[in-house]
Amino acid sequence: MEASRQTELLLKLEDLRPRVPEKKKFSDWFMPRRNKYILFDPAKCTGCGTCEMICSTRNVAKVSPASASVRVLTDEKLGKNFAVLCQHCRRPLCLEACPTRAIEKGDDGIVRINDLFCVDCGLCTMACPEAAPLKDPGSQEIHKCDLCEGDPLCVKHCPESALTDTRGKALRWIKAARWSVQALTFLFLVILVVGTFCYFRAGTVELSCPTGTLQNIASSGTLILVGASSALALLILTVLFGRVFCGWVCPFGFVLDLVDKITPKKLGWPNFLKSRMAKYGILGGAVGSSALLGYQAFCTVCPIGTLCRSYGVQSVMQSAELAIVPALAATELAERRSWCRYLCPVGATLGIASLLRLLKIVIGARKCKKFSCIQCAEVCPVGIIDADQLREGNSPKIPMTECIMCLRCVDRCPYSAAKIRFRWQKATPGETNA
Amino acid sequence: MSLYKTFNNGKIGVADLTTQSAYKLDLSWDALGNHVGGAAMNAWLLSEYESDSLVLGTGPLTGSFAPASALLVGTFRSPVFDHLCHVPFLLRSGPEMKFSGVDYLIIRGAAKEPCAVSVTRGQIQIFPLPDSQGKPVPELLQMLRRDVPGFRASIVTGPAADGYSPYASASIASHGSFDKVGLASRMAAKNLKAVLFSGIEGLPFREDHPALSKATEKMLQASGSLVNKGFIPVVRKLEDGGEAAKVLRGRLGRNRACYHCPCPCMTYAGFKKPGTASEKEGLLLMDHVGWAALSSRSDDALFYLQRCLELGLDPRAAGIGLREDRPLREAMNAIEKLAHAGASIDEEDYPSAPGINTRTYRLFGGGITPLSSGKAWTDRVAAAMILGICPVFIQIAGRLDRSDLLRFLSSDAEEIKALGESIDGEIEMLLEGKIPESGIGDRV
Repeated sequence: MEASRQTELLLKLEDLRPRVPEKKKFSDWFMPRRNKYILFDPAKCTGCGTCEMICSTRNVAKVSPASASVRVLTDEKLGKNFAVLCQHCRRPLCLEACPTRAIEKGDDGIVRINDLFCVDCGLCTMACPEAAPLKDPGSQEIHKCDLCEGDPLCVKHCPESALTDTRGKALRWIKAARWSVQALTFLFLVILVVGTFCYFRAGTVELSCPTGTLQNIASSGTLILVGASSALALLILTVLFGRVFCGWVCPFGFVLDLVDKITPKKLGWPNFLKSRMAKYGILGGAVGSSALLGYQAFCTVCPIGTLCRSYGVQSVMQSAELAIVPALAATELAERRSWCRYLCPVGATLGIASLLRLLKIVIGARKCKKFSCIQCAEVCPVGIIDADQLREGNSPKIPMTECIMCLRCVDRCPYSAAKIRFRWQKATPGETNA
Repeated sequence: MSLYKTFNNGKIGVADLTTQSAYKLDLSWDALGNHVGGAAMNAWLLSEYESDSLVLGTGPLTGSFAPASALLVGTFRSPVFDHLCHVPFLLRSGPEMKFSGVDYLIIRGAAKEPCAVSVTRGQIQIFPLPDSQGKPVPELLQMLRRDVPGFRASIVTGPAADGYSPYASASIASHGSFDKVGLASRMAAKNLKAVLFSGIEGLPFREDHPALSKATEKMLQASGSLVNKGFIPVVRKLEDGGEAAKVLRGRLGRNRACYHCPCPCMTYAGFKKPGTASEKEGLLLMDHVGWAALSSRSDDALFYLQRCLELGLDPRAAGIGLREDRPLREAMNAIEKLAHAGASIDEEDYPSAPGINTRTYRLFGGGITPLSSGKAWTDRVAAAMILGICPVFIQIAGRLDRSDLLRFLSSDAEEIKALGESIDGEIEMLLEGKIPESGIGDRV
């Protein structure tokens, strides 16, 4: 009894320093706010140390470069400079690591250390991929950039303008354009067009996806030119621009993106099912079973097809089919676009076509901030950008057969390092092909 | 508040290598008022000790918001020319020394075994460095990083100094320096392999300094002083600089600046070792006159420069010694020979610069890039060596006059005037080689 009362009386960290939940506006779900951060251009930096000098004057009211919140490291052989400074991450690892919750992220996006609670343990330095909270070798205190409360002195005083404070690109038009195109095509294919998208139930408008056409050929042994021509158009589109259908047009992809917005936290896709080759197996199985059964086997459960034929205004509301879309959309709870990554045979067909693609996405190593930023890897819905490669300072090789050309990486990259290139072009002069 | 009286630690460190002991003295404000700092103060301190002592010192502006406030001056009696010389050390050596807790460091006596002197938070320590004799500079630095962790700036000597070569040159880390008058030999005579600084302390500043610094930079930009940056524009201004610049075409990397310098005059260069296809090497081009002399060996000049830096050898001397077009192996042998006692490059008037009195040029280390000549060079360089400003920058920024710099020391016009007069007097003393007489501070 006495022991339990003592336990009750013990205060936990949560009681002393309750974690403040992140406030998110409604608009943030669609267009997240871009917080300010300092962008370092290694090509301009001369290693003069003015940033360290000026920063220390704010930290310790002395000229003491060792006490600064920014540190310029130089490769003394080849002269490459690198600035260690806080990027004010969207999800700061230092904040999670701090045992006294002395690190807080403000509404303005600035990650600050509250000196009152900081015990200078240095765990934040270890947790930060950039090691940006810097330990003062003199006083042993931790100093971390707080952007000088919005007006960074280092930026103002850098003689080479190697440091700039930015919110990234001002207009995120790619994201806005993609959402608009997705909504419009959803409206067109699901609501307006009479009939279906796939070959299974052609109405007055005959459209066919390439997978449907393959199944049709396998099941009937005949080739219907009208359907094949629309499938061919999609294949040509894929050859020209990559899998833009998956990223910009697919109505089920739009549904998955909406589900992702509602459920940003993921449960995780089972490891034994984590094979991108599975979708090619499903494609083979769909074609094979169509040949055996004599009808387009996969089209009966295809989420794109069922969405088009069962949810439109003029469609037939078939009770069994109605369940397919929510059931498969539930895969989004496990991992982003897990349907597209592992299961979708339509994506598999387009993936094969994209072997002949003209375009590619590259992440240019010279501009990329690499190991500290990895925003491109974070936003990639199909998870094909290797964050570990970025952390190691290499340009990641992007498998274009898996890329759905959503261009989120291009849109998100604050350094303009992610770019669209022709497949024969190099990322930037002097870099190897990604 | 006058920075002149506040941007100092007020401490003189003394390291006695003979007794392996170190202590600190309080810096007398009267002495500081009389001699201002830098080379002038060093000369005065040297007069108080044995003639074979070595004094390292900073200027009143070193480490401050004044542009290019990177200077550390090494003052000693040159064993090669037998007169007082002041060698400038740049990059971050000056601020690191000042922020390590002492303004001046007197190294007296000679150690029995090779050693290093380290200064951190005002504490002076002498470390034995057995097995360091004859080690190339990069290897020595590696050894120092292992044995004396935490240092942030270093002045080291290489095998050329160990071999008593008259062309040995002290080096800032592995980058070389403007020492062409035997500071490395003086260090070698003391068995001193390295002086290390860890500037983790700081000094208070006047509140208007950041704005003053920015205003100075804008003024220099408006005057066009800061247009041409990098190693090449500076080399081009030298007598044989055109050819020297051509050799570097396609090999240059990023520019590098000294502490708080808005006009970088150093550049990294990349090259491949002769006979290898892929091994990429790189080094910092810092010594303009050294490169101009060495680049006559066009294709392999960077490789030779790297070897000179490894040996702690003056690249200008090597360049003069290698003028004939020799095959690689022979040239390398010639460089190795220069790194030993008794080596000679058969140039009596070495080092010298056109339009500058040879004795005066040697007085300031014999390696400062001569971007002007005559009295203009002497006055500007001498003022920079007293105040703690880079002597190359002060020539590049022709628009910058002494009063612009003195504004960083005081906002009082009268005080600035008095300081200007003091500096004039000190320059005269330096040029005449006179050593002032007065007492030193109290022992701590």
